[in-house]
Amino acid sequence: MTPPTAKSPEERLRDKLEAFPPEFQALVLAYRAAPAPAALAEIVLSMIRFHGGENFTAKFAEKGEQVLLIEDLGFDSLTLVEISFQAEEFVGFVIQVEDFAALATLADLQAFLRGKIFPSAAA
Amino acid sequence: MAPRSRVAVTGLGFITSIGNDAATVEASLRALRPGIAAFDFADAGGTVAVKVAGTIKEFETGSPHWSRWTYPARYKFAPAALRSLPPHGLFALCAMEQALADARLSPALVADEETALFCSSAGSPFLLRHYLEALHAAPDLRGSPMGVVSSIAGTLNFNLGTHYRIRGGNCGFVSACASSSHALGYAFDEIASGRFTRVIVVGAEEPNTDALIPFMSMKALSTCADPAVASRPFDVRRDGFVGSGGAAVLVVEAAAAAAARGAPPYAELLGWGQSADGFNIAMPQPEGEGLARALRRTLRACGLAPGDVGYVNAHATSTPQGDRAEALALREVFTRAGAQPLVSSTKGLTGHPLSMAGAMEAAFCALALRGGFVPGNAALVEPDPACAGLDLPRATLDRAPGIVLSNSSGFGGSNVVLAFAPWSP
Repeated sequence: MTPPTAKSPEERLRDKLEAFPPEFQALVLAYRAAPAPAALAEIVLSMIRFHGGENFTAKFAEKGEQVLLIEDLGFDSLTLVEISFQAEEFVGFVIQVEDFAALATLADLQAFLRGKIFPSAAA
Repeated sequence: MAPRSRVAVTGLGFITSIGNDAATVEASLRALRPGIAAFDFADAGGTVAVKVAGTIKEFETGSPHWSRWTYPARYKFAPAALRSLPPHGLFALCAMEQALADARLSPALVADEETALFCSSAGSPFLLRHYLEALHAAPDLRGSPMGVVSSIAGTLNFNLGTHYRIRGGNCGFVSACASSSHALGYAFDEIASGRFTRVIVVGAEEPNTDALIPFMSMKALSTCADPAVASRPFDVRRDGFVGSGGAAVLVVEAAAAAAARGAPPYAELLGWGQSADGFNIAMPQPEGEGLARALRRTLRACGLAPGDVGYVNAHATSTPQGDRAEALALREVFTRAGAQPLVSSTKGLTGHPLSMAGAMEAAFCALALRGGFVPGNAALVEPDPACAGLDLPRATLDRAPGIVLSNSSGFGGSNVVLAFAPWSP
């Protein structure tokens, strides 16, 4: 059996973005063209909102970025793996699954990615 | 030995080609309003000889991404409930919501230790293809973490069992087009014997190109382009089945538990029987010997004589071989004994939804028993001579069916017959 041709990074990115709303797709494409900390933060927030749905809206209104990924939003291990894969495709950084052990909140995730991708901008 | 519990059907849920709730389904059965429509198999590539399917209305699930699906606004599901589902899992979730409300079951009762979940589906060839293609296209063969749980045959059990916090038991059944009838049969055994108080039985399939077109290669699908007559079980002009899907859910439980909750049963599940043909991977034994054995076994298990049966909901899918074998089995068991129950196949309206057929048709029987009607044979014009002596009503009869049997047969020669009675306290 002939294996299918591997897709280019651009094709894979387009495939991954298909699941997301057009405004998120635009956000990611803009970030890829000109990476910046503010855009990174918006992408991460949008990803977590996408996976959390209405539950995220309620919890975020209550707790802001201190919302807990597992306890408040109900993310399980498969969801965290999916988020890590998507982060790699969208912002070009690999979150190891074991990293999530120290990333309890959205604020933790934001700070982690900002520190890794924009170390000079990290708070 | 403890006395056996009586087993009641107390909740139904439907996402089917003929309606997405019990009232619409019953109205379609009474009016013989079909759910078969022109279907575009263009995504198969090339020219496809098959032109129709039993389509699901109000849903759009053509994307592999759950976030792109649309479904009726009366349902509200969080991303956590959807992200590891296949399309037919969404149908099953909606049908579950209907059935649990219908049976007046609280979330706490569904999640107690006495409630089990029995499911049947073939999985999702559509999502399996999508995820495997993505995996092979990635340089490191890395696929989606949701790929397995959303596409393999246990997907309904994984997803629904988690969503509803099922703790009594969670089990799948695989016998092709007899699968969800097997699930109902074993649900009866578990409840009657006292091992479970209730079992929620789910059958679901997705009517899309990847699920249906492989049957074209077996010459099993009708190539008739007219939706009104493409599925015509028992008719001499039948040329194959019309694929369909959706979801059907039944809540079956110990009658005492239903009574304690004030849940009015649709019907009593009296018992069941099964057999195997031992003949061919796809075709039934031509004389219907296997199905006749399952029919006799069911009658014996339920203490019934052939003359006690008022209506048989036939498996007949509109294939030349299958319908003939079933007709001969019915003649052998009933006509030879001087009995003449009414016989119809509702697949003339719905098409054939594969592994969910048994659950869907058992639920139709429950509607017929509560509503006092017998579904007719839609699209039947000229019965096959093999049906000589069988009473095949064309129109739906406004008449209580009495004792009802529901037949199912699947690849490999699996035969299941379920017996239902009108509910009497």
